[in-house]
Amino acid sequence: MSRSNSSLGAAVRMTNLEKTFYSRTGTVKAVEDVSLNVAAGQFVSLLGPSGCGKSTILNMVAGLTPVSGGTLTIDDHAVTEPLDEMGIVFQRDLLLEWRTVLDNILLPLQIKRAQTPESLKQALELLELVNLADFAHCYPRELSGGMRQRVAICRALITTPRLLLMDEPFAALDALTREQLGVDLLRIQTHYHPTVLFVTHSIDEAVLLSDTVVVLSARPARILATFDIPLGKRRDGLTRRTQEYLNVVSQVRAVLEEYAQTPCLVSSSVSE
Amino acid sequence: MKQLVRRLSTTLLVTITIIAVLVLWEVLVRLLDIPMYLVPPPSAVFKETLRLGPELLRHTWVTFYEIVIGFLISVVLGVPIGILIVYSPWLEQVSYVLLVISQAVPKVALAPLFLVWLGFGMQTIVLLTFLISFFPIVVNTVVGMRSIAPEMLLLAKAMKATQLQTFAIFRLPVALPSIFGGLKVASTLAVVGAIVAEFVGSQEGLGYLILSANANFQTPLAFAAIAILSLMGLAIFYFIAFLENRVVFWQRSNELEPEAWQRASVGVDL
Ligand SMILES: Nc1ncnc2c1ncn2[C@@H]1O[C@H](COP(=O)(O)OP(=O)(O)OP(=O)(O)O)[C@@H](O)[C@H]1O
Ligand SMILES: [Mg+2]
Repeated sequence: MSRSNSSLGAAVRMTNLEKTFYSRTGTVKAVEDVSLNVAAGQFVSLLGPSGCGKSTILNMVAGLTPVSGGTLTIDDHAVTEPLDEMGIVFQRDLLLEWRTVLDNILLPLQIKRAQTPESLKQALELLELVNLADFAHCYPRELSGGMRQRVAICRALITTPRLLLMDEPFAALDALTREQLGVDLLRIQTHYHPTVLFVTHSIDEAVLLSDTVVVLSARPARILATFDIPLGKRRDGLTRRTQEYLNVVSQVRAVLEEYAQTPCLVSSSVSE
Repeated sequence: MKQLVRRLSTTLLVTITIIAVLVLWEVLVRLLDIPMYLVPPPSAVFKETLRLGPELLRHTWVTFYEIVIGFLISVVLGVPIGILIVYSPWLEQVSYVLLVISQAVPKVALAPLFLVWLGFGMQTIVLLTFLISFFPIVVNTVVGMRSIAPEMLLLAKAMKATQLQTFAIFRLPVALPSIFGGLKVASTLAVVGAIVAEFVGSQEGLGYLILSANANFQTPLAFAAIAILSLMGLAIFYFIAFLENRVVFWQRSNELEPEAWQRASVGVDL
């Protein structure tokens, strides 16, 4: 693929990261003392109970929410605004209904006024990658939920991002579609090598896709444990049946269950 | 194809119903021997329409003109004001309250005052038409502009869209369905506004015609004017609905066409 040599992902570094929301009803501490290094090209999942602050962490990395305390850098630059070479995917696909699939994918380039004659070809290549080549000229309402989310992923990838942020991107999909898209995502990552920060509720999904799984506590989010996943880079649906996979899943589950019973106990980082 | 058949059969059904009502009306009026000045039979109304054709046409044009001008002014002012209200916290607090208060004043009650201030004539009628149709346009624009999902705005921010881009690419299209809803409501109100204004102070137009026909016991003429007025209201409404279908094509009320479904389900590889 004729891409610029930006095969290096971005390195994200969080040190004693904190976030407190001030609102009329009071203050909410959403993130407390999170320190995490995400090396370039890594796939890191954030796993934790609902409302614990996962989206908040992601939004801070995205430059959408200011940091309250600690430091947050991308490639050693403090985050003050969204990174130019960043793609983001939310739980809802957020496609623009009045634009065709192709125009939705090209949107980030149009906004940055960076559309070139090459862009169209790149968009079509991306569609090919997620098996939607025939739908370039359809409108979003003509697609299923899973297909729409794939378009949203293409939209995030069109700028060849060095950092891909995904906030429960597959949460609204059925289990089979979800697994298929996860595997698609891994394939995409081996193509482009972006750093991926991936928020999910699903232990299975986190383990299947990630190099590292970070387990967070209930609000305020603190890191309970970090797991390096020893499954190698080549993974697919069959990986779920391997013993290593099952081992890691049960370890992660154990940490979450232990925490659920004694929330005040914060076990130290367990690294494989 | 199937859709065309369905639409045609709906039209047919409506036509038949209207004809049936007219026939029933004609028969009842004749059977019960109701005097012409109370309820004229449709045939008499029709005859009167033909007899006074050019005269009716002139009054129709006057009223149509007033409605369209008043309505257009409220669109041209209402939509931008609605947008400004969403963008400016100051305007939001001040003008929204002002608008709601002004809405509490029945504008029809102001008609005699306007007459004193602006004098007899079209300007007074256009002003009242504008005032009545203005509010729903502003409110629907505000509601539409606010209906954007917060995540959508985050997405725009993540793409580093400028304020102008965020407005033109995200917010305005999202608001369009609601704006068109406002336009449809406003268009029917504009008709009411023009007629009431004509009642109060005009020497021409369908509203004037209805009043004067009533005064002279020319009930068939009054009925003819009312019928024309209803048709005009319908025509304006459907014209806007037609525009809506064109502009807000992604929200067309009818379901997906079957072909699109087939296209969409092929190639979903699981
Ligand atoms: N803008 C905000 N103002 C005030 N409080 C907020 C704001 N955004 C988030 N919060 C609070 O911060 C906490 C963490 O929210 P966050 O959305 O990060 O959770 P999450 O882990 O993503 O949850 P979920 O898994 O349900 O998406 C919540 O208690 C929420 O109420
Ligand atoms: Mg969340």
